[in-house]
Amino acid sequence: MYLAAQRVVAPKSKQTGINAFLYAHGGRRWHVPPSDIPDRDPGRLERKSIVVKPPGNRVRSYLDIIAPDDLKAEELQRRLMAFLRRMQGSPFPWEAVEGPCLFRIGMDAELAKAGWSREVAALAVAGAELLAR
Amino acid sequence: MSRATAKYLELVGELRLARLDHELRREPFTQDEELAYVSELDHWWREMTGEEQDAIERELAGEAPDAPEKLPAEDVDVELGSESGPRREAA
Repeated sequence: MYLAAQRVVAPKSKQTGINAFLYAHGGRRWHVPPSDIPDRDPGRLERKSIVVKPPGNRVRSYLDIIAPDDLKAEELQRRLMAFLRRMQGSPFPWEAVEGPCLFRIGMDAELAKAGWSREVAALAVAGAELLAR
Repeated sequence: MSRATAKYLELVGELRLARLDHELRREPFTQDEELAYVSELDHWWREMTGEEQDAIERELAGEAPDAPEKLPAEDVDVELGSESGPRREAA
């Protein structure tokens, strides 16, 4: 699966919010994340949660998770925390493989300064809510 | 960097991640859990010299990881069932 949560801001109204997208990969299985996901093959969009209607909104932050479809939520969170432990303190964007998962996080300087961990939590919660739907 | 400084910074990072972990699990970060970190932070703080404490305060005040002023990306409208990603490079 490819789970993407991104905070966007509308250029005119300045409305802001987190949109989330869940893509599936038709039974593809892996132990190491395939290199074509998500940039060449994002998968088929299965679910989405839209707060600010696309298109053309500026992306201010994102969390991308590429993981096997059948990975348990607890395992996914453990992998995410391991990724964050490795990356904290590094300049954004963050990208790393953690077991069968690939994580990518980016955000602008204002969000990073206001508290990157709060932003990651907001993105992760939006993603988890879509996943649980 | 002294051992006390390194331990203090490590604990600050651990505390941040512990709070985040609880938030993601939708579980409260209890006062007892917070206190365990705080007492250890206090211990290492007292082990530092005044100069080291000043340096830590400066470091933590400007600790946000480097990030670009703006991300070069905008979102796209994706219909259910389609096979394109949710954002692209901004024009």
